[in-house]
Amino acid sequence: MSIFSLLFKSNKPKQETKTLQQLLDMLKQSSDFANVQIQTGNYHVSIFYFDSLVDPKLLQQQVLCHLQQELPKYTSFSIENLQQIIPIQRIEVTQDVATIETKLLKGFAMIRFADIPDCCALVNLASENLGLRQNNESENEFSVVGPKVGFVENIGTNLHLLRRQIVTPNLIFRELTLGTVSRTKIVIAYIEGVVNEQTLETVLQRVSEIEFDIVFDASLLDQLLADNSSSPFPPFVSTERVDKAIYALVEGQVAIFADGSPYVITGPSTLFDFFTSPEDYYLPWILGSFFRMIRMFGVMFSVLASPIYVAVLTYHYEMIPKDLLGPIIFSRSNVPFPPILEVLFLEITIELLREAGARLPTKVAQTLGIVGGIVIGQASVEAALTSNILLIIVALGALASFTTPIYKMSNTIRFIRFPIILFAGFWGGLGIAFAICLLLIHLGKLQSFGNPYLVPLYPFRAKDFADSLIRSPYQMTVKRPSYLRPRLLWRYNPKKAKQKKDIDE
Amino acid sequence: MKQGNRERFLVSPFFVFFTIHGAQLGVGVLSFQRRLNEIVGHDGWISIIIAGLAVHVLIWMVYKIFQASGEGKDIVRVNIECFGKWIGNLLNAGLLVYFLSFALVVLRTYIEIIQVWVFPLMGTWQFSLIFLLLTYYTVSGGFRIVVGLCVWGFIVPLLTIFPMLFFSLEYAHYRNFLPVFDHSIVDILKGAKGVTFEYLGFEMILMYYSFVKNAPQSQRWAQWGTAFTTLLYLIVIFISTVFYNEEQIKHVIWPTLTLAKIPEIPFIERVEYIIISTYVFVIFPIICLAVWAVTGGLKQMTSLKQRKSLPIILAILFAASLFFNKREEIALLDQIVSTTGFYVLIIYIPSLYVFVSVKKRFQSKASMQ
Repeated sequence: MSIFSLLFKSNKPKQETKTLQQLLDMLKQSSDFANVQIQTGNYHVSIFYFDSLVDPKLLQQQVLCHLQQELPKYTSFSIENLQQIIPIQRIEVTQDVATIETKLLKGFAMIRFADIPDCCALVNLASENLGLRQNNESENEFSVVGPKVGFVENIGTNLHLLRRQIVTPNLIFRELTLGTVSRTKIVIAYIEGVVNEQTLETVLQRVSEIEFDIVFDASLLDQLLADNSSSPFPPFVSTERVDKAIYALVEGQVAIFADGSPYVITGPSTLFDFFTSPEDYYLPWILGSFFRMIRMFGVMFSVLASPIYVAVLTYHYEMIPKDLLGPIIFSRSNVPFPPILEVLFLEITIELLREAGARLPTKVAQTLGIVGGIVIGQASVEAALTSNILLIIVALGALASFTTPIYKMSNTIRFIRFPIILFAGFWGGLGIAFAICLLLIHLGKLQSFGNPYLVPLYPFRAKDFADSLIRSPYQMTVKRPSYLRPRLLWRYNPKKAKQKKDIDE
Repeated sequence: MKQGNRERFLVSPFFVFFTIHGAQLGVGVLSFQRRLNEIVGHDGWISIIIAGLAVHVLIWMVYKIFQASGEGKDIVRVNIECFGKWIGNLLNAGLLVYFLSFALVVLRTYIEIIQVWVFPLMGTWQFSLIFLLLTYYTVSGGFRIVVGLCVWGFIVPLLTIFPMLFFSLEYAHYRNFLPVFDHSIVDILKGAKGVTFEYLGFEMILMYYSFVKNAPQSQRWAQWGTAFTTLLYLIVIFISTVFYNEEQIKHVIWPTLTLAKIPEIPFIERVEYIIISTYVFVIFPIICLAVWAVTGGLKQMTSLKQRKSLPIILAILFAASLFFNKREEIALLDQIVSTTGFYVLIIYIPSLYVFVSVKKRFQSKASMQ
């Protein structure tokens, strides 16, 4: 990094101070930059805007109409009084060329009177929803129970969704602009009085230090903000569900929105955060905990099943009991490959199916899943390329990896089994133990906004287990997790109205 | 290094439990029944309790040494302050060599087990290399990561290996214990000396004491760690005494592993393969802790940065592990290290304790006057 910064320092574009005329000349090169001149009464008014950014209806009904009707009534009119006649909020009057440039590029119209050419009024005419989808159902993180509202590409809508449920003045939005080309609006949301100040400071500092050209999606930020960028594990939860983001905020985390991205980043996150689904909280706690544990088991199974198959069949065949040996020999007797090649072949097939399914349109993808899953699976068993048992194991492993609610984490889980398979192929069961050791050490080293990733396991926090492996009943999750070091530990005041049974009296 | 900065590297007193226990429980527990049986027969459990009590006293002494010599010092500084620059550094160097050889014994013995039980044809260098690469990755993360590994090294084996031992109670002969006190006191004490190796490792606290937050308060956890080790050993010796008879156990080199052959689960046979694999979690923290201690000590002595000395130490360990190939050589190495360890525990720590406390008394008298 340092070498690059040294190399490129001299090439950095210098901030030139333009005059207003130079700016307008430059913008005029673009065909969608419009200039409307109107003459009403004594006033000669010119309006500049980008055709492609401005809502024409707003321009006609709120600006042009009012200017033409109201302006002639005034004998002397100063540009500061524009707010009196144009019914659009927050009209800004400025001489600063840089501000004018940014605002014009954001869909503002610039109004200028001929007698004071340097002073300009900026009116917001941006058509917020032009070209954006209106439908905000959360598609990728589905839950059967609970609200289905998800974030959309428009940051205004997203912030609105947040404010609607967190009705407190303590919800603070801090706005920043990021990206030398895209000038994306980034909003950092947190609840004042809950969030840990040090964490917030870290977040603000990290976000403001980012240097990038175009912020396409919040997941870019996710990588740029990471404490350790060379890790397959996602450092922060990114979700498109409103309820999940709100829950994170209430717990004392920070949420980062980027305009144009339907995903919001919440952090600091821990490993367990990636395996919680909002549905856990909508179901009774016993069911919620049960399904969460099923999910954890799914992860372990998905990571370990095929490596164990490789290890056992390559090196430790003594471990297979007599009764199980028959079916395994029967299904593997015609397979010409060593177990590791067999496993890699099938795992890569499944990865291909998944990748192809993700790239194709939904309707085709369904067909592909059926064709790929059934036909290829069945045919490869019949052609004796793989064994039946392995097919079951790999398919179950793939299924189990999809139970992870956060897509990024489920990708990670799908990835990390490949090194483990290789370890198992080289050193058998010992290799698996080595790999798990490596994994645990790696997870132990990871941090998310300076917060340990493996908490509450290591550093051990017994109290925070209430909402990690299991989803405890709500009486037990009244306190916020202590590893976030929230400034207010209690989420709400629990009523101590416990019903007494006759046996307690 | 500023004090405020250093706070980030410290671990809570609670974790001393894991480092003490993790360092003690090593390869020894797989084979100590036979050695113990040769000396005290079925009365081995008494020796284990005696050895455990001795370790409790030694830990108490270690804490006293550090309390007497002031906050935030590790053994390197204490040695130099007590014995002068030359003798002190000689002692330090001796300790570091001892820790290094301790890591070597654990590494080599475990690789031997792998070679005997699982992979007879694989060379030592393979396992040694991968072990040390992993050690590099761990130790380069700092002391907190090493401690984290110790925690895993406690949880994972406790959940997977430990329950397997109880299957063999199905074939228990509880009368094997009788008669109790069949051996002389001298024999029992000799037996206690014989299990020194099983308790070795806790003395690494000499090195990492200054990395514990509120270190004096951690004594409780250190004592609990040792108590837990003693408890585990008692359970193991109990199970193996009731399972094997005295003649049988003489012919088994790794009685604990042989015990693990007993359990049968519908879909797994020969559980000992799982146990040997999972034993990585037991072995690995010890090696990491020892290597960390050595590099940490070097840093104090020569101001050589840990990141620089780490590859050198690992290379030495790797080369050394290739020298011991035969069973007898490994057994000899085992013997030498456990004897050295015995004298470190029984002579060095108590005499340092006496020295430091006498010195402190003189100093406080001097300051009173």
